[in-house]
Amino acid sequence: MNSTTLFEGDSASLRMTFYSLLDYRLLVCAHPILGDKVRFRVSDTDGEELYNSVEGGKDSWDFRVNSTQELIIDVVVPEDPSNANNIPPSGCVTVVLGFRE
Amino acid sequence: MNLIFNKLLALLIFPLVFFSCGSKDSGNSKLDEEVESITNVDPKEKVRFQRAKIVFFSLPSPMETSRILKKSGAVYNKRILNSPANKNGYQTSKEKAVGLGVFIADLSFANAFDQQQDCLDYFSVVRELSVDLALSNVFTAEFIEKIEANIENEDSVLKYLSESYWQANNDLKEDGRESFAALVAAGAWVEGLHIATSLINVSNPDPEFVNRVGDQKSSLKQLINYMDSFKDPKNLKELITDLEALQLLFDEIQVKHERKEKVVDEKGVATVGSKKTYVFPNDLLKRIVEKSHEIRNKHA
Repeated sequence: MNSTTLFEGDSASLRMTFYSLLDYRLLVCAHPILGDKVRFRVSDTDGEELYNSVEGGKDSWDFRVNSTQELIIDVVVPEDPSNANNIPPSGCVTVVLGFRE
Repeated sequence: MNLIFNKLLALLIFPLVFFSCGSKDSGNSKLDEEVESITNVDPKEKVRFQRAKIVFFSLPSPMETSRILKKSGAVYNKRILNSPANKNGYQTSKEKAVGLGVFIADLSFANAFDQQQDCLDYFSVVRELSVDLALSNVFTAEFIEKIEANIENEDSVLKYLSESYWQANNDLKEDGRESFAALVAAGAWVEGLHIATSLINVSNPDPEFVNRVGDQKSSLKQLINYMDSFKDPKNLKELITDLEALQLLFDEIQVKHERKEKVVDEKGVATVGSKKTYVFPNDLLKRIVEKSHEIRNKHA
């Protein structure tokens, strides 16, 4: 499984090139211990936000790019203020990408 | 329609290459070192580390590259590919890792054009190199039998190829050989560029193929960043040096950006990002074509 371990409060950033002429589906999933709090946003290299899973309300996003370019996928596991334990939970977070012609 | 989309995505879906969970042995990368630093600290200190953002780089897969070349109007020509007969030229593990990437790229190209016999030939070579690299549990004899049984189904072959490519990548990292995973990725990238540049008639270039070459500017930067991220890149040094020489040429490409508003179609698919136009001044395209062939012929 290709994924990484994140603690509550962690964030990871993935810089990736996406080709024009292809349609993509981006999916982020996380171990249940992290609950459904994991969120992600996609932005271009100028910092303009293209998708936000909180506003989009989905853990997947279907898209294509006008021209081949690098996009930045930021994955965040927000802190849980109600967690009194000094040890934050951690779990696997996976970013999965599919394409079609 | 959505069902069809989901079906296609299920066939083609693959996990991203450089996320690596539980790969404690793959400590060659500075990125992994950051992850390790998070997992090995006192629990009380963890909160402090939570804010350190982990950054990964990822490349388009050779399967994607082949598909966009086909969509750009490429015609299948096996003479520009690396012949399976060259497999014995790869002697060291490092050479075999690069060769594995090269042949996977060729296999992807043959698959995109539904060249069934060539696919079988390349699968055979890929399997041999995989065995030599102790990746025999990925491209197994059973796997080859499955390919042979489904060779007439282009999508099935693509699905098996995608799964195996990422599995091989993951196994190398899990086995503490992340630099070899980088060599496989680099070999595939170099062969993809070689195929793209071989489609170009320098004296009268097709704009579509020129754009496909320009597209590689972004992924080349990511490839070098990834390879540079290793603490001890002795396996990678020669290839990095050659890729950096190529990057100097790619840096001369003038890129014009036109900002575009995000548009979402009726199926919910968003079209995003700027529109780019590549300008290759003077003989730059010719120099890039020549340099890409030089690097490919040196390493592949």
